[in-house]
Amino acid sequence: MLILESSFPRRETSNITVQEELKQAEVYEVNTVVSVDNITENDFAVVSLDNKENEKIDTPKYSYWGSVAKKFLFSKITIFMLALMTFILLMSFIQPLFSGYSLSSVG
Amino acid sequence: MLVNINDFKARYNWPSLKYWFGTDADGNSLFDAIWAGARTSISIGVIASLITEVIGVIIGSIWGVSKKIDRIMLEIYNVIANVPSLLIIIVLSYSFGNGFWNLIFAMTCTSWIGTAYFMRVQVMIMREREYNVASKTLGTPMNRIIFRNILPYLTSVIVTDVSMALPSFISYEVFLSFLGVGLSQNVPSLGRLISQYSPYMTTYPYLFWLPVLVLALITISLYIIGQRLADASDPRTHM
Repeated sequence: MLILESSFPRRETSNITVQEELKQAEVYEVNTVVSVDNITENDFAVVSLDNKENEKIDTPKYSYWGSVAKKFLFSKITIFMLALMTFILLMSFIQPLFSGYSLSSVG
Repeated sequence: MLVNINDFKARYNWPSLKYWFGTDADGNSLFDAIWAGARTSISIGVIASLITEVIGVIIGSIWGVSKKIDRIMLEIYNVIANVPSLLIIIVLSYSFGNGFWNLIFAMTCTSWIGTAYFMRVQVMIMREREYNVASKTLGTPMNRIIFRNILPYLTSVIVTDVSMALPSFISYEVFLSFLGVGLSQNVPSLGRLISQYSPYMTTYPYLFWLPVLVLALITISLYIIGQRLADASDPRTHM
């Protein structure tokens, strides 16, 4: 048994790639299982080399501070501590405004 | 405000719905006192470590790349680093008088040199890497080497240093206020609360333990967040 599938990455930009993909989809449904006996030469398409496509580098986008934030917020302890710190900071900078606590005023 | 000073029923109340953290000998609400004190302590910690880190990082990076400055600064460092920093802070706050900004001045006056020395070592390690030697050979000016080539690699090191400086300055303030040095008499702080209420440790334990608990929560949360941020800002963990 042989599994024919459109394993090459889909790229909308290349015309040739799209055509090849369409041709393959015409003959068989994508991802169908085909027995070896039923395969003929027509089932294959010539894949040409596209120099421009080869120049593209497929790496996920990387942003330094984005990765820092992702790594930082990954841990639950950190999030808990962050919440605790925010609470303490807010309390200590907002509560004295309302309480008007002062060591110098008497009565 | 000491509105309860003549109200005997308001004295030494244990924590309740009306007084969340209880009251002290003057009928003061400890809840108000703690947050007013925490504000002073946190402000001192943040301002002092900001000043220390900014001066320390800038001078330390110049110190690290310049051999001429290195010779002079190393002598200054040797002199200052051999005097206990706590002694310098106490002497300075005695001579300048008590007060919020005087205390911050006393704390930051010499402590930046420790950060600068730490940065010098870090910069010297990076300075001799191949990419920096190549950059220097190609004629990159010194400023650019420091701020573009070296400092971005030291982000996590700097964050680690900040995360250790913040709690340590808060502890300095608490310790000095406990001794009665540093802040003036009308400024509430966590150290002052702890020293004021330490005699009640057995009779009215909430008066002593609640400020200590809040102080512990502040320093622990700051330290852990700083450490996690330092870990996260190291690009080697981004895999």
